[in-house]
Amino acid sequence: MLELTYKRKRSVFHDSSAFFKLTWLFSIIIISIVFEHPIILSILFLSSLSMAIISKIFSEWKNVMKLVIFFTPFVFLFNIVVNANGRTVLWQLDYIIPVFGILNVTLEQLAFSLTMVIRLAAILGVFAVLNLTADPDDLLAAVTKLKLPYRSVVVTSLSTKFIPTLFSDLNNIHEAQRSRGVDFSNGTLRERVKKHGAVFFPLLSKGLDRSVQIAESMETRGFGRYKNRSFYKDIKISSSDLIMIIVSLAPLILSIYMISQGIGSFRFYQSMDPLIKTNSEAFYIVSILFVHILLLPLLKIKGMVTYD
Amino acid sequence: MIEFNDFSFYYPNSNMPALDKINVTVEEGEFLLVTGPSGGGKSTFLRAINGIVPNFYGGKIGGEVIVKGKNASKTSTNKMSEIVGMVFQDPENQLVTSQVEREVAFGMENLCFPKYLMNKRVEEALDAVNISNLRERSISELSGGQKQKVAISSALATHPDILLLDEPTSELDPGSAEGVLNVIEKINDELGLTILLVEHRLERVMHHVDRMLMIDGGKLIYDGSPRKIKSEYVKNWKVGLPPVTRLSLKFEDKIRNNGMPLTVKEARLSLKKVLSNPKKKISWEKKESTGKICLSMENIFFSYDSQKDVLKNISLNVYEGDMIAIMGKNASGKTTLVKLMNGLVKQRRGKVLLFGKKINEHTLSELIQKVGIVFQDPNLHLFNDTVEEEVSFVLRNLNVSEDLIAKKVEEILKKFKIYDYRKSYPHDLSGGQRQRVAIASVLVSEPEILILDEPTRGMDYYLKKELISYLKEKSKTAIMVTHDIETAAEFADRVVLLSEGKIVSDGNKRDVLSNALLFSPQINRLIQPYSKYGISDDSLTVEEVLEVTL
Repeated sequence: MLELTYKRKRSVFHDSSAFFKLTWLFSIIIISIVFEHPIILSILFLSSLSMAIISKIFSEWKNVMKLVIFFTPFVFLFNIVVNANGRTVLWQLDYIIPVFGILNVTLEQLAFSLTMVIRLAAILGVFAVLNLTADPDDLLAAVTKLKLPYRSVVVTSLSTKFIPTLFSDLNNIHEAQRSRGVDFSNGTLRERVKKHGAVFFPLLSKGLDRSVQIAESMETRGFGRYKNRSFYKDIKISSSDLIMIIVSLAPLILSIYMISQGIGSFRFYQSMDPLIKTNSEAFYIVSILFVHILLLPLLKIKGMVTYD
Repeated sequence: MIEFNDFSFYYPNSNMPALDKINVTVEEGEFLLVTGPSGGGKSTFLRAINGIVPNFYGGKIGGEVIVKGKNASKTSTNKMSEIVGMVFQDPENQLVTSQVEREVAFGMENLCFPKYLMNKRVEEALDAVNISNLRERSISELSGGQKQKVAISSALATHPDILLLDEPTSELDPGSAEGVLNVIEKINDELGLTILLVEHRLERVMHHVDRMLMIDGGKLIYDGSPRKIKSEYVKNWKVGLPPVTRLSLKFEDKIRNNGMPLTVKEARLSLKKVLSNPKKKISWEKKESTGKICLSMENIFFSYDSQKDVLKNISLNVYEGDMIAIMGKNASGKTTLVKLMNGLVKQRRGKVLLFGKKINEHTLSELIQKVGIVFQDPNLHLFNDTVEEEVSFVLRNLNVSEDLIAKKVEEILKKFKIYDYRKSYPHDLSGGQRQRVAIASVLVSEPEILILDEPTRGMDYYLKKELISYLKEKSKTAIMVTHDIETAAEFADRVVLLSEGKIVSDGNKRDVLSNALLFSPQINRLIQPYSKYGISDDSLTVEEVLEVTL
């Protein structure tokens, strides 16, 4: 079952400042958007994997990552269909499809698709770690302190809070319809799609009812009354958090420097670049890896200081 | 404190007023009960006080609502929140943070209260509803009753002058509901807050309030003390008065001094003469199960997460012709038990036989002819374009002829008073109407065993009566999961009581419901001291007592 809501657990990452979690997320998201380099994207993915392990949420995180596996065939298929580039042709359709053109599979297409899957995994993974380890109320406090619009954060955190409810609604609708004779396991593909489609309207209706109720409840408790809000629990940044924030931003700073110097770019078409082009590129990539690895002993030390 | 001056309200795209020229004045510190049939306008009335109507929903208004000098319709709801707090029906859909004390502070944070004041108010608000022990708990770990107390505490923390409560106990079992209502009464008594409570299960609340408003068809049809009601007023009321009050109204000429009794204790005193001089002595028949076994469960264990058993060692036979009420606290395993009965979930251990055959060996089409199930939430059932299609859906799955479908559908739609809406989109109907469509959509196929999960929630008194009479007339074997003790007493022959996944009592309703501490109908509690005069101590309903006293 897909679980994307925060649950309190005793782990050093859970107990870290919301500011650190946000800077870590921000750094990874920006780097994964600006770079297409497979090694850099893999480092980012490994960073979210290691955080999932040390914050003891691996099994929930793994369930979220199953979504990536679900999307993988679509990513490959999409690239093969819409993109005919690449020199190393592995397979080609014998004739040209009118209007559409050549249909082929190239090594470059496959490498590009795989890299996009890694990018997707890195982004989804880091969001999953944040959602599962950060108390939405702490995030709200942090975002407001950063002068960002708190209303959007509340809406985002509420939408993740209701994901399990949505799945439970879906299950209940399936059960109600099955008990009236809708057999979801039988029929042609078209019939099955139609049956599953019939689940959509009750689900939408339930979701809308629920969102109206939540909105009413928030409105009657003064939500949005003033531009600012006060905080019952103030979030503070300890010196250890400050170090963590600086370390988590370091890869981003390195990346900005790399871009300005034209380092770290990666071309897939027509022929693929080598994974490491120059010594300086290798140096910077290893530096990014090092800084992400550095976060782990730092968290360990922070944990020892906090819990002992 | 609150003044409704000729206030009318039309929802967008509606020509019928949801509220029609309402004139009411509410004084400071009053405790008001707002009641009426479903769709009658009581929730809309409440929402006009903090401006949700019309500011949130849109629509047309006439007249005005003045709350502490402010025109509620012209003031934004979040501004009104400084003087009006509100608690809603569903505990799941009104809590927004993840931890109890943060939830209590949420309103104060929105209103920019300073930190020292929030600390003080959180403490007070938690104490006021006796949940200080829950302060650090995660909201998701709480029971429904505890969540409702958190919602009340959260509404209290901003120190509103007025507290609005929209059916705050409708999702709760009797014990939790009583706990929440006691807290509300305490708040009114000790803090002097003006409270308006919407509720249609009157036996729970009528005795707590100073004044009662009855709203039906958008009109205010009663405004006064609940103790001053008379049989001529209540003739056309579509709400279920407390059974002891219904009984007392039959003897209103004999009731003096303190007005109409609203509780068991008051009725015992007021009806002393009547109850100690019964005209007849009747021993009620205890109907035993005599038919063939149609469903049998043997040593069933069930778990959702393979860690904690939700049902433990359940053995139960359902006989043809049984009318069973399954009762128990929230989360005692009632819904899971009935899901096992039509194979929606599979037991971890044990055996379920349906008409002598293992339940998983039946085809889906056999199953739906044998067991029909109506779930608590009508929205889950409705997925067709019109009410007519919705109700005929199951018959089409069973390949019934079109002529017969048309006949059966018309009959049941008329019975449930939804025939006029047969061409409407089910999701456009009111909550009560949707519930009737959902019930009709299953009942229409006349399954061998009919299961209803909390079917009377949100239904007014007359609809409940209709449903019970229809079930008695049409269903072969019926099982109803319910919190509503009075409905169980009227509907069932047999009651199964569940607690923490185990059957703690299973037998004739008179044996299970008589003298029970938590699950005993008002009438049964009323007549206990008078059993020595000849009234049978297992009497359960108003009609039974009238039969021996009139």
